[in-house]
Amino acid sequence: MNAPLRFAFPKGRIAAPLAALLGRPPLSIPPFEGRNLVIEVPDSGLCFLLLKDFDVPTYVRRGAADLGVAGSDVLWEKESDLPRPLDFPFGRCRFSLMRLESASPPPEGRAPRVATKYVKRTRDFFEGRGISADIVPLSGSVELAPRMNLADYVADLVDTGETMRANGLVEVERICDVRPQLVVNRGALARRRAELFGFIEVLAQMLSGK
Amino acid sequence: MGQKIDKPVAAAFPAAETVTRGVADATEPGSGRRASLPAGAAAYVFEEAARRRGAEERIVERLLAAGFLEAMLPSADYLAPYAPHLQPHEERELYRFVDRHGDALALRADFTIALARHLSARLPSGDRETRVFYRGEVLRGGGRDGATGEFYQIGAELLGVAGPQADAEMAERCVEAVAAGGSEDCHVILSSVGAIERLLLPELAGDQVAALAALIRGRRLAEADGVARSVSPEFASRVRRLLEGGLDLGDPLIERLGETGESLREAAKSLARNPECRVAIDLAEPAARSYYTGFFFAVYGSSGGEPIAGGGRYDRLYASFGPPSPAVGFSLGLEGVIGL
Repeated sequence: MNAPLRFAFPKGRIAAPLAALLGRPPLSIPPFEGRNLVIEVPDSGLCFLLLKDFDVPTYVRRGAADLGVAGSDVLWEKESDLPRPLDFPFGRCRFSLMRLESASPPPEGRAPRVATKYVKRTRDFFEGRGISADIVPLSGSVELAPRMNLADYVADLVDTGETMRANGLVEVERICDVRPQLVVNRGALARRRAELFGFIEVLAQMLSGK
Repeated sequence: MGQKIDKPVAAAFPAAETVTRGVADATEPGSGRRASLPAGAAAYVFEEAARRRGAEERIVERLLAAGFLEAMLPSADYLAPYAPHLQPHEERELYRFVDRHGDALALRADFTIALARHLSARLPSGDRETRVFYRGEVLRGGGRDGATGEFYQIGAELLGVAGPQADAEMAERCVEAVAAGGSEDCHVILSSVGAIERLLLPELAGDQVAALAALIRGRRLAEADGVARSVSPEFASRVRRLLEGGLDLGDPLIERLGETGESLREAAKSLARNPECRVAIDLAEPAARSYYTGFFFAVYGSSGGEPIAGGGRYDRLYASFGPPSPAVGFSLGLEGVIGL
Protein backbone atom coordinates (compact mmCIF):
# COMPACT_ATOMS: atom_id res chain seq x y z
CA MET A 1 0.00 0.00 0.00
CA ASN A 2 1.25 3.48 -0.84
CA ALA A 3 2.36 5.90 1.85
CA PRO A 4 -0.34 8.46 2.66
CA LEU A 5 -0.39 11.70 0.70
CA ARG A 6 1.10 14.44 2.88
CA PHE A 7 -1.28 17.38 3.06
CA ALA A 8 0.12 20.74 4.22
CA PHE A 9 -2.71 22.19 6.30
CA PRO A 10 -2.52 25.93 7.16
CA LYS A 11 -3.27 26.62 10.84
CA GLY A 12 -4.21 30.28 10.24
CA ARG A 13 -7.42 32.03 9.36
CA ILE A 14 -8.76 29.41 6.92
CA ALA A 15 -8.14 26.45 9.22
CA ALA A 16 -11.72 26.29 10.51
CA PRO A 17 -13.58 26.37 7.16
CA LEU A 18 -11.02 24.04 5.58
CA ALA A 19 -11.39 21.55 8.44
CA ALA A 20 -15.17 21.80 8.07
CA LEU A 21 -14.91 20.99 4.36
CA LEU A 22 -12.58 18.05 4.93
CA GLY A 23 -14.90 16.78 7.68
CA ARG A 24 -17.72 16.27 5.18
CA PRO A 25 -18.26 12.94 3.42
CA PRO A 26 -16.78 11.22 1.57
CA LEU A 27 -13.50 12.36 3.18
CA SER A 28 -14.94 12.67 6.74
CA ILE A 29 -11.67 13.79 8.28
CA PRO A 30 -12.19 14.12 12.06
CA PRO A 31 -11.22 17.38 13.81
CA PHE A 32 -7.54 17.68 14.70
CA GLU A 33 -6.96 17.46 18.41
CA GLY A 34 -3.92 17.61 20.66
CA ARG A 35 -0.60 19.27 19.95
CA ASN A 36 0.83 16.77 17.48
CA LEU A 37 1.62 18.60 14.26
CA VAL A 38 1.56 15.43 12.13
CA ILE A 39 -1.81 13.74 11.98
CA GLU A 40 -2.30 10.60 9.97
CA VAL A 41 -5.89 9.68 9.29
CA PRO A 42 -6.10 5.92 8.75
CA ASP A 43 -8.18 4.78 5.77
CA SER A 44 -8.22 8.27 4.25
CA GLY A 45 -4.81 7.87 2.64
CA LEU A 46 -3.89 11.29 4.02
CA CYS A 47 -1.40 12.57 6.54
CA PHE A 48 -1.86 16.20 7.61
CA LEU A 49 1.05 18.48 8.48
CA LEU A 50 -0.19 21.42 10.55
CA LEU A 51 1.81 24.44 9.43
CA LYS A 52 2.03 28.20 9.58
CA ASP A 53 0.29 29.65 6.51
CA PHE A 54 3.53 31.09 5.13
CA ASP A 55 5.31 27.73 5.37
CA VAL A 56 2.84 25.77 3.23
CA PRO A 57 4.42 26.70 -0.15
CA THR A 58 7.89 25.83 1.15
CA TYR A 59 6.82 22.39 2.35
CA VAL A 60 5.01 21.68 -0.90
CA ARG A 61 7.66 23.11 -3.20
CA ARG A 62 10.44 21.14 -1.59
CA GLY A 63 8.45 17.91 -1.50
CA ALA A 64 8.06 17.62 2.28
CA ALA A 65 4.33 17.71 1.51
CA ASP A 66 2.62 16.39 -1.63
CA LEU A 67 -0.11 19.00 -1.64
CA GLY A 68 -1.51 21.73 0.56
CA VAL A 69 -3.66 24.81 0.82
CA ALA A 70 -2.23 28.32 0.69
CA GLY A 71 -3.62 31.78 0.15
CA SER A 72 -2.94 33.47 -3.16
CA ASP A 73 -1.38 36.28 -1.07
CA VAL A 74 1.18 33.89 0.41
CA LEU A 75 1.85 32.28 -2.98
CA TRP A 76 2.54 35.68 -4.54
CA GLU A 77 4.82 36.64 -1.67
CA LYS A 78 6.78 33.40 -2.07
CA GLU A 79 6.92 33.78 -5.89
CA SER A 80 5.43 30.33 -6.05
CA ASP A 81 4.93 28.65 -9.41
CA LEU A 82 3.34 25.53 -7.95
CA PRO A 83 0.39 24.05 -9.83
CA ARG A 84 -2.89 25.33 -8.35
CA PRO A 85 -5.69 23.01 -9.45
CA LEU A 86 -8.49 24.33 -7.20
CA ASP A 87 -9.71 27.51 -5.54
CA PHE A 88 -11.75 27.36 -2.35
CA PRO A 89 -14.90 29.42 -1.90
CA PHE A 90 -14.20 30.29 1.75
CA GLY A 91 -11.57 32.53 3.32
CA ARG A 92 -11.69 34.99 0.47
CA CYS A 93 -10.73 38.56 1.23
CA ARG A 94 -8.85 41.44 -0.35
CA PHE A 95 -5.37 42.88 -0.07
CA SER A 96 -5.69 46.61 0.30
CA LEU A 97 -3.80 49.81 0.84
CA MET A 98 -5.03 51.74 3.88
CA ARG A 99 -4.25 54.98 5.66
CA LEU A 100 -5.39 56.77 8.81
CA GLU A 101 -8.68 58.50 8.16
CA SER A 102 -7.49 61.57 10.03
CA ALA A 103 -4.06 61.75 8.33
CA SER A 104 -3.09 64.25 5.69
CA PRO A 105 -1.33 62.91 2.58
CA PRO A 106 2.42 62.25 3.00
CA PRO A 107 4.74 65.01 1.73
CA GLU A 108 5.46 64.77 -1.99
CA GLY A 109 9.18 65.21 -1.48
CA ARG A 110 9.78 61.74 -0.08
CA ALA A 111 8.73 58.18 -0.82
CA PRO A 112 5.52 57.04 0.88
CA ARG A 113 6.19 54.73 3.83
CA VAL A 114 4.15 51.55 3.76
CA ALA A 115 4.02 49.03 6.60
CA THR A 116 3.22 45.45 5.58
CA LYS A 117 3.79 41.75 6.11
CA TYR A 118 3.68 41.33 2.34
CA VAL A 119 6.85 43.06 1.20
CA LYS A 120 7.05 41.63 -2.30
CA ARG A 121 3.37 42.07 -3.15
CA THR A 122 3.46 45.66 -1.89
CA ARG A 123 6.67 46.50 -3.73
CA ASP A 124 5.25 44.99 -6.93
CA PHE A 125 2.13 47.11 -6.57
CA PHE A 126 4.03 50.36 -6.18
CA GLU A 127 6.55 49.49 -8.89
CA GLY A 128 3.63 48.80 -11.19
CA ARG A 129 2.55 52.40 -10.57
CA GLY A 130 6.06 53.72 -11.13
CA ILE A 131 6.29 54.79 -7.48
CA SER A 132 9.31 54.16 -5.26
CA ALA A 133 7.87 53.25 -1.86
CA ASP A 134 9.71 52.90 1.42
CA ILE A 135 8.49 49.49 2.61
CA VAL A 136 8.50 48.89 6.37
CA PRO A 137 8.46 45.12 6.92
CA LEU A 138 6.42 44.02 9.94
CA SER A 139 5.32 40.58 11.05
CA GLY A 140 1.90 41.47 12.47
CA SER A 141 -0.41 44.15 13.94
CA VAL A 142 0.45 46.32 10.97
CA GLU A 143 -2.63 48.52 11.55
CA LEU A 144 -0.76 50.12 14.43
CA ALA A 145 2.03 51.50 12.23
CA PRO A 146 0.32 54.71 10.97
CA ARG A 147 -1.01 55.52 14.42
CA MET A 148 2.52 55.42 15.81
CA ASN A 149 3.85 57.42 12.84
CA LEU A 150 5.91 54.45 11.68
CA ALA A 151 4.31 54.51 8.23
CA ASP A 152 1.96 56.58 6.06
CA TYR A 153 0.11 53.56 4.76
CA VAL A 154 -0.59 49.94 5.59
CA ALA A 155 -0.91 47.17 3.01
CA ASP A 156 -2.71 44.18 4.44
CA LEU A 157 -5.59 41.74 4.14
CA VAL A 158 -9.08 43.12 4.70
CA ASP A 159 -11.87 40.69 5.46
CA THR A 160 -14.85 42.34 7.16
CA GLY A 161 -12.99 45.64 7.61
CA GLU A 162 -13.60 45.59 11.37
CA THR A 163 -9.92 45.71 12.38
CA MET A 164 -9.31 48.44 9.83
CA ARG A 165 -12.11 50.63 11.20
CA ALA A 166 -11.23 49.90 14.83
CA ASN A 167 -7.79 51.35 14.17
CA GLY A 168 -9.08 54.45 12.44
CA LEU A 169 -7.99 53.33 8.96
CA VAL A 170 -9.74 53.75 5.63
CA GLU A 171 -9.22 51.77 2.46
CA VAL A 172 -7.36 53.78 -0.18
CA GLU A 173 -7.22 51.07 -2.84
CA ARG A 174 -7.98 47.39 -3.29
CA ILE A 175 -4.72 45.91 -4.60
CA CYS A 176 -5.99 42.42 -5.36
CA ASP A 177 -8.43 39.73 -4.29
CA VAL A 178 -7.11 36.88 -2.16
CA ARG A 179 -8.36 33.30 -2.14
CA PRO A 180 -7.16 29.99 -0.74
CA GLN A 181 -5.86 27.61 -3.38
CA LEU A 182 -4.91 23.95 -3.48
CA VAL A 183 -1.25 23.61 -4.42
CA VAL A 184 0.46 20.46 -5.62
CA ASN A 185 4.08 19.41 -5.65
CA ARG A 186 5.41 18.65 -9.14
CA GLY A 187 7.45 15.68 -7.96
CA ALA A 188 4.38 14.17 -6.33
CA LEU A 189 2.50 14.76 -9.57
CA ALA A 190 5.17 12.77 -11.40
CA ARG A 191 5.20 9.95 -8.85
CA ARG A 192 1.52 9.72 -7.86
CA ARG A 193 -0.42 11.32 -10.67
CA ALA A 194 -3.52 9.09 -10.57
CA GLU A 195 -3.87 9.31 -6.77
CA LEU A 196 -3.44 13.05 -6.72
CA PHE A 197 -5.91 13.72 -9.49
CA GLY A 198 -8.31 11.25 -7.86
CA PHE A 199 -8.13 13.24 -4.62
CA ILE A 200 -8.45 16.55 -6.46
CA GLU A 201 -11.55 15.26 -8.21
CA VAL A 202 -13.12 14.29 -4.87
CA LEU A 203 -12.39 17.75 -3.48
CA ALA A 204 -13.75 19.41 -6.62
CA GLN A 205 -16.99 17.47 -6.32
CA MET A 206 -17.31 18.37 -2.64
CA LEU A 207 -16.80 22.02 -3.50
CA SER A 208 -19.42 21.90 -6.23
CA GLY A 209 -21.84 20.23 -3.81
CA LYS A 210 -22.12 16.99 -5.79
CA MET B 1 36.34 6.12 1.75
CA GLY B 2 32.88 5.18 2.93
CA GLN B 3 34.02 5.06 6.55
CA LYS B 4 31.49 6.33 9.08
CA ILE B 5 32.86 9.36 10.86
CA ASP B 6 31.26 10.44 14.12
CA LYS B 7 33.81 11.41 16.71
CA PRO B 8 36.04 13.48 14.42
CA VAL B 9 33.01 15.57 13.51
CA ALA B 10 32.35 16.35 17.15
CA ALA B 11 36.01 17.17 17.65
CA ALA B 12 36.16 19.40 14.60
CA PHE B 13 33.07 21.39 15.56
CA PRO B 14 33.09 21.89 19.35
CA ALA B 15 30.31 23.95 20.88
CA ALA B 16 30.25 27.48 19.54
CA GLU B 17 30.80 28.78 23.07
CA THR B 18 34.16 27.01 23.24
CA VAL B 19 35.24 28.20 19.81
CA THR B 20 34.35 31.82 20.32
CA ARG B 21 35.42 32.26 23.94
CA GLY B 22 37.75 35.21 24.22
CA VAL B 23 37.28 36.33 20.60
CA ALA B 24 34.86 38.64 18.83
CA ASP B 25 31.28 37.39 18.47
CA ALA B 26 31.43 34.87 15.62
CA THR B 27 27.98 35.93 14.39
CA GLU B 28 29.10 39.50 13.70
CA PRO B 29 29.28 40.07 9.94
CA GLY B 30 32.75 41.56 10.20
CA SER B 31 34.10 38.69 12.24
CA GLY B 32 36.73 36.56 10.56
CA ARG B 33 35.24 33.60 12.42
CA ARG B 34 31.80 33.87 10.86
CA ALA B 35 30.50 30.32 10.61
CA SER B 36 27.66 30.62 8.10
CA LEU B 37 27.91 30.49 4.31
CA PRO B 38 26.11 32.80 1.89
CA ALA B 39 22.54 31.68 1.16
CA GLY B 40 22.56 28.56 -0.99
CA ALA B 41 26.33 27.96 -0.84
CA ALA B 42 27.37 24.51 0.34
CA ALA B 43 30.48 22.77 1.63
CA TYR B 44 30.89 18.99 1.84
CA VAL B 45 33.51 17.10 3.80
CA PHE B 46 34.15 13.54 4.96
CA GLU B 47 31.68 10.89 3.79
CA GLU B 48 29.45 13.37 1.97
CA ALA B 49 32.38 14.67 -0.09
CA ALA B 50 33.43 11.09 -0.85
CA ARG B 51 29.90 10.17 -1.93
CA ARG B 52 29.70 13.12 -4.25
CA ARG B 53 33.08 12.45 -5.81
CA GLY B 54 32.31 8.73 -6.19
CA ALA B 55 29.03 9.46 -7.96
CA GLU B 56 30.74 11.97 -10.23
CA GLU B 57 33.40 9.43 -11.22
CA ARG B 58 30.84 6.73 -12.03
CA ILE B 59 28.81 9.10 -14.20
CA VAL B 60 31.86 10.44 -16.02
CA GLU B 61 33.09 6.92 -16.66
CA ARG B 62 29.79 6.14 -18.40
CA LEU B 63 29.93 9.27 -20.52
CA LEU B 64 33.51 8.63 -21.60
CA ALA B 65 32.58 5.06 -22.52
CA ALA B 66 29.74 6.40 -24.69
CA GLY B 67 32.16 8.60 -26.62
CA PHE B 68 31.54 11.97 -24.94
CA LEU B 69 34.61 14.21 -24.60
CA GLU B 70 35.01 16.70 -21.81
CA ALA B 71 34.68 20.45 -22.20
CA MET B 72 36.10 22.65 -19.46
CA LEU B 73 34.44 26.02 -19.22
CA PRO B 74 35.16 29.20 -17.27
CA SER B 75 33.41 29.74 -13.96
CA ALA B 76 32.79 33.41 -14.80
CA ASP B 77 32.11 35.10 -18.12
CA TYR B 78 30.90 38.37 -19.62
CA LEU B 79 27.19 38.79 -19.08
CA ALA B 80 26.37 40.37 -22.44
CA PRO B 81 26.48 37.22 -24.66
CA TYR B 82 24.17 35.39 -22.27
CA ALA B 83 21.58 38.08 -21.64
CA PRO B 84 19.58 37.60 -24.87
CA HIS B 85 19.03 33.94 -23.97
CA LEU B 86 17.73 34.50 -20.46
CA GLN B 87 14.22 35.14 -19.19
CA PRO B 88 13.94 37.76 -16.43
CA HIS B 89 13.73 35.11 -13.69
CA GLU B 90 16.83 33.35 -15.08
CA GLU B 91 18.72 36.64 -15.18
CA ARG B 92 17.73 37.35 -11.58
CA GLU B 93 19.34 34.06 -10.56
CA LEU B 94 22.77 35.19 -11.75
CA TYR B 95 25.51 36.27 -9.38
CA ARG B 96 26.79 39.36 -11.16
CA PHE B 97 29.72 41.63 -10.62
CA VAL B 98 31.83 44.20 -12.45
CA ASP B 99 35.49 43.63 -13.27
CA ARG B 100 38.19 46.29 -13.04
CA HIS B 101 37.56 47.33 -16.66
CA GLY B 102 33.91 48.04 -15.89
CA ASP B 103 32.57 44.99 -17.74
CA ALA B 104 29.58 43.17 -16.27
CA LEU B 105 30.40 39.53 -15.49
CA ALA B 106 28.36 36.66 -14.11
CA LEU B 107 29.26 33.47 -12.33
CA ARG B 108 28.32 30.28 -14.15
CA ALA B 109 24.64 29.46 -13.65
CA ASP B 110 24.29 27.04 -16.56
CA PHE B 111 26.71 25.24 -18.87
CA THR B 112 24.70 24.95 -22.05
CA ILE B 113 24.82 28.58 -23.17
CA ALA B 114 28.50 28.81 -22.21
CA LEU B 115 29.22 25.67 -24.21
CA ALA B 116 27.44 27.04 -27.27
CA ARG B 117 29.41 30.30 -26.95
CA HIS B 118 32.80 28.61 -26.69
CA LEU B 119 32.20 25.62 -28.92
CA SER B 120 30.26 27.02 -31.86
CA ALA B 121 33.34 28.20 -33.74
CA ARG B 122 35.08 24.86 -33.20
CA LEU B 123 32.30 22.53 -34.33
CA PRO B 124 33.03 20.41 -37.42
CA SER B 125 31.24 21.64 -40.54
CA GLY B 126 28.29 19.77 -41.96
CA ASP B 127 26.12 17.39 -40.02
CA ARG B 128 28.91 15.57 -38.21
CA GLU B 129 27.94 14.70 -34.69
CA THR B 130 29.85 15.95 -31.68
CA ARG B 131 29.52 14.48 -28.21
CA VAL B 132 30.56 16.66 -25.31
CA PHE B 133 30.17 16.51 -21.56
CA TYR B 134 30.92 18.96 -18.77
CA ARG B 135 31.01 19.06 -15.01
CA GLY B 136 31.40 21.73 -12.38
CA GLU B 137 29.69 23.97 -9.89
CA VAL B 138 26.91 26.29 -10.96
CA LEU B 139 25.58 29.09 -8.80
CA ARG B 140 22.06 30.41 -8.82
CA GLY B 141 20.71 32.90 -6.34
CA GLY B 142 17.57 34.90 -5.74
CA GLY B 143 15.26 32.20 -6.98
CA ARG B 144 11.84 31.26 -5.72
CA ASP B 145 11.26 30.37 -2.11
CA GLY B 146 14.91 29.82 -1.24
CA ALA B 147 15.22 26.94 -3.71
CA THR B 148 18.53 28.24 -4.93
CA GLY B 149 22.19 27.85 -4.45
CA GLU B 150 25.35 26.19 -5.50
CA PHE B 151 25.26 22.72 -6.95
CA TYR B 152 27.49 20.43 -8.94
CA GLN B 153 26.20 19.91 -12.43
CA ILE B 154 27.16 17.17 -14.86
CA GLY B 155 25.73 17.22 -18.33
CA ALA B 156 26.19 15.92 -21.83
CA GLU B 157 25.27 17.26 -25.23
CA LEU B 158 24.84 15.67 -28.62
CA LEU B 159 25.47 18.28 -31.29
CA GLY B 160 24.91 18.14 -35.02
CA VAL B 161 22.16 15.53 -34.85
CA ALA B 162 18.45 16.22 -35.19
CA GLY B 163 15.51 13.88 -34.85
CA PRO B 164 13.66 11.62 -32.45
CA GLN B 165 16.43 9.01 -32.12
CA ALA B 166 18.86 11.58 -30.79
CA ASP B 167 16.22 12.93 -28.39
CA ALA B 168 15.46 9.45 -27.10
CA GLU B 169 19.13 8.59 -26.78
CA MET B 170 19.86 11.61 -24.59
CA ALA B 171 16.84 10.99 -22.37
CA GLU B 172 18.03 7.42 -21.95
CA ARG B 173 21.61 8.53 -21.22
CA CYS B 174 20.31 10.95 -18.63
CA VAL B 175 18.46 8.18 -16.81
CA GLU B 176 21.57 5.98 -17.01
CA ALA B 177 23.65 8.80 -15.51
CA VAL B 178 21.13 9.30 -12.71
CA ALA B 179 21.27 5.56 -11.98
CA ALA B 180 25.08 5.57 -12.09
CA GLY B 181 24.98 8.42 -9.60
CA GLY B 182 23.06 6.19 -7.23
CA SER B 183 19.45 7.32 -7.48
CA GLU B 184 17.43 4.14 -7.12
CA ASP B 185 14.33 4.90 -9.12
CA CYS B 186 13.26 7.76 -11.26
CA HIS B 187 10.14 9.22 -12.77
CA VAL B 188 10.60 10.83 -16.17
CA ILE B 189 8.18 13.39 -17.52
CA LEU B 190 8.36 13.92 -21.29
CA SER B 191 7.10 17.11 -22.83
CA SER B 192 7.65 19.58 -25.64
CA VAL B 193 7.85 23.35 -25.91
CA GLY B 194 4.74 24.81 -27.50
CA ALA B 195 2.92 21.48 -27.77
CA ILE B 196 -0.07 22.66 -25.75
CA GLU B 197 -0.48 25.74 -27.92
CA ARG B 198 -0.45 23.60 -31.09
CA LEU B 199 -3.07 21.28 -29.64
CA LEU B 200 -5.45 24.14 -28.87
CA LEU B 201 -5.62 25.02 -32.55
CA PRO B 202 -7.68 25.51 -34.64
CA GLU B 203 -10.55 26.02 -32.18
CA LEU B 204 -8.86 28.97 -30.48
CA ALA B 205 -6.62 31.68 -31.84
CA GLY B 206 -4.06 34.24 -30.73
CA ASP B 207 -4.43 35.48 -27.16
CA GLN B 208 -7.06 32.86 -26.36
CA VAL B 209 -4.51 30.10 -27.04
CA ALA B 210 -1.91 31.74 -24.80
CA ALA B 211 -4.44 32.31 -22.01
CA LEU B 212 -5.77 28.74 -22.02
CA ALA B 213 -2.25 27.27 -22.30
CA ALA B 214 -1.26 29.24 -19.18
CA LEU B 215 -4.27 27.86 -17.31
CA ILE B 216 -3.35 24.32 -18.37
CA ARG B 217 0.29 24.73 -17.28
CA GLY B 218 -0.92 26.06 -13.92
CA ARG B 219 -3.31 23.04 -13.69
CA ARG B 220 -6.18 25.46 -13.16
CA LEU B 221 -8.78 22.72 -13.53
CA ALA B 222 -12.02 24.61 -13.07
CA GLU B 223 -11.05 27.67 -15.11
CA ALA B 224 -9.54 25.65 -17.99
CA ASP B 225 -12.53 23.27 -17.99
CA GLY B 226 -14.87 26.25 -18.10
CA VAL B 227 -13.16 27.74 -21.15
CA ALA B 228 -12.92 24.38 -22.92
CA ARG B 229 -16.56 23.41 -22.37
CA SER B 230 -17.67 26.61 -24.03
CA VAL B 231 -15.94 25.40 -27.23
CA SER B 232 -17.06 21.78 -27.62
CA PRO B 233 -17.20 18.47 -25.71
CA GLU B 234 -14.32 17.08 -27.81
CA PHE B 235 -12.22 20.15 -27.05
CA ALA B 236 -13.08 19.85 -23.33
CA SER B 237 -11.89 16.23 -23.35
CA ARG B 238 -8.66 17.29 -25.06
CA VAL B 239 -8.03 20.02 -22.50
CA ARG B 240 -8.79 17.65 -19.63
CA ARG B 241 -6.16 15.19 -20.91
CA LEU B 242 -3.64 18.01 -21.16
CA LEU B 243 -4.47 19.18 -17.61
CA GLU B 244 -3.99 15.77 -16.07
CA GLY B 245 -1.04 14.64 -18.19
CA GLY B 246 -0.02 11.00 -18.39
CA LEU B 247 -1.03 10.69 -22.05
CA ASP B 248 -1.13 7.22 -23.59
CA LEU B 249 1.37 6.56 -26.35
CA GLY B 250 -1.53 5.95 -28.68
CA ASP B 251 -3.30 9.19 -27.81
CA PRO B 252 -4.20 11.03 -31.02
CA LEU B 253 -2.89 14.23 -29.44
CA ILE B 254 0.63 12.84 -29.73
CA GLU B 255 0.01 11.89 -33.36
CA ARG B 256 -0.96 15.50 -34.07
CA LEU B 257 2.43 16.74 -32.89
CA GLY B 258 4.30 15.32 -35.89
CA GLU B 259 8.05 14.91 -35.33
CA THR B 260 7.76 16.17 -31.74
CA GLY B 261 5.20 13.43 -31.10
CA GLU B 262 7.64 10.96 -32.61
CA SER B 263 10.33 12.13 -30.16
CA LEU B 264 7.93 11.70 -27.25
CA ARG B 265 6.98 8.19 -28.38
CA GLU B 266 10.53 7.16 -29.15
CA ALA B 267 11.81 8.37 -25.77
CA ALA B 268 8.90 6.78 -23.89
CA LYS B 269 9.54 3.42 -25.55
CA SER B 270 13.29 3.53 -24.88
CA LEU B 271 12.86 4.51 -21.25
CA ALA B 272 10.11 1.96 -20.62
CA ARG B 273 12.69 -0.77 -21.15
CA ASN B 274 14.38 0.35 -17.93
CA PRO B 275 12.58 -1.34 -14.98
CA GLU B 276 13.76 1.37 -12.56
CA CYS B 277 12.16 4.09 -14.63
CA ARG B 278 8.52 5.28 -14.76
CA VAL B 279 7.65 7.41 -17.76
CA ALA B 280 4.75 9.77 -18.42
CA ILE B 281 3.99 12.21 -21.21
CA ASP B 282 2.79 15.43 -19.61
CA LEU B 283 2.74 18.42 -21.94
CA ALA B 284 1.89 20.76 -19.04
CA GLU B 285 5.28 20.19 -17.43
CA PRO B 286 7.16 23.51 -17.49
CA ALA B 287 10.43 23.71 -19.42
CA ALA B 288 13.34 24.16 -17.03
CA ARG B 289 15.28 26.46 -19.33
CA SER B 290 13.95 28.98 -21.80
CA TYR B 291 16.33 28.03 -24.63
CA TYR B 292 14.58 24.70 -25.24
CA THR B 293 12.94 24.66 -28.63
CA GLY B 294 11.10 21.32 -28.75
CA PHE B 295 11.31 17.99 -26.96
CA PHE B 296 12.34 18.22 -23.30
CA PHE B 297 12.13 16.06 -20.20
CA ALA B 298 12.37 16.28 -16.42
CA VAL B 299 13.56 13.51 -14.12
CA TYR B 300 12.20 13.33 -10.58
CA GLY B 301 13.69 11.11 -7.89
CA SER B 302 11.88 8.95 -5.36
CA SER B 303 11.29 11.99 -3.14
CA GLY B 304 11.62 15.76 -3.24
CA GLY B 305 9.81 18.40 -5.16
CA GLU B 306 12.20 19.49 -7.86
CA PRO B 307 13.60 17.55 -10.82
CA ILE B 308 16.99 16.01 -10.10
CA ALA B 309 17.86 15.99 -13.79
CA GLY B 310 16.46 17.08 -17.10
CA GLY B 311 17.25 17.98 -20.62
CA GLY B 312 15.92 18.83 -24.01
CA ARG B 313 16.47 20.07 -27.53
CA TYR B 314 17.73 23.58 -28.26
CA ASP B 315 18.19 23.90 -32.00
CA ARG B 316 18.42 27.70 -32.13
CA LEU B 317 21.10 28.34 -29.55
CA TYR B 318 24.21 27.66 -31.66
CA ALA B 319 23.04 29.91 -34.49
CA SER B 320 23.27 32.93 -32.18
CA PHE B 321 26.97 32.28 -31.58
CA GLY B 322 28.12 30.86 -34.92
CA PRO B 323 27.06 28.28 -37.49
CA PRO B 324 23.68 26.73 -36.69
CA SER B 325 23.67 23.25 -35.23
CA PRO B 326 20.93 21.01 -33.92
CA ALA B 327 21.57 20.18 -30.29
CA VAL B 328 20.09 18.05 -27.55
CA GLY B 329 21.44 17.52 -24.07
CA PHE B 330 20.82 16.82 -20.44
CA SER B 331 22.18 17.82 -17.08
CA LEU B 332 21.81 16.63 -13.53
CA GLY B 333 22.43 18.18 -10.14
CA LEU B 334 24.70 15.76 -8.33
CA GLU B 335 23.49 16.67 -4.83
CA GLY B 336 19.89 15.91 -5.82
CA VAL B 337 20.83 12.64 -7.47
CA ILE B 338 22.68 11.30 -4.45
CA GLY B 339 20.29 12.88 -1.94
CA LEU B 340 22.77 15.15 -0.15
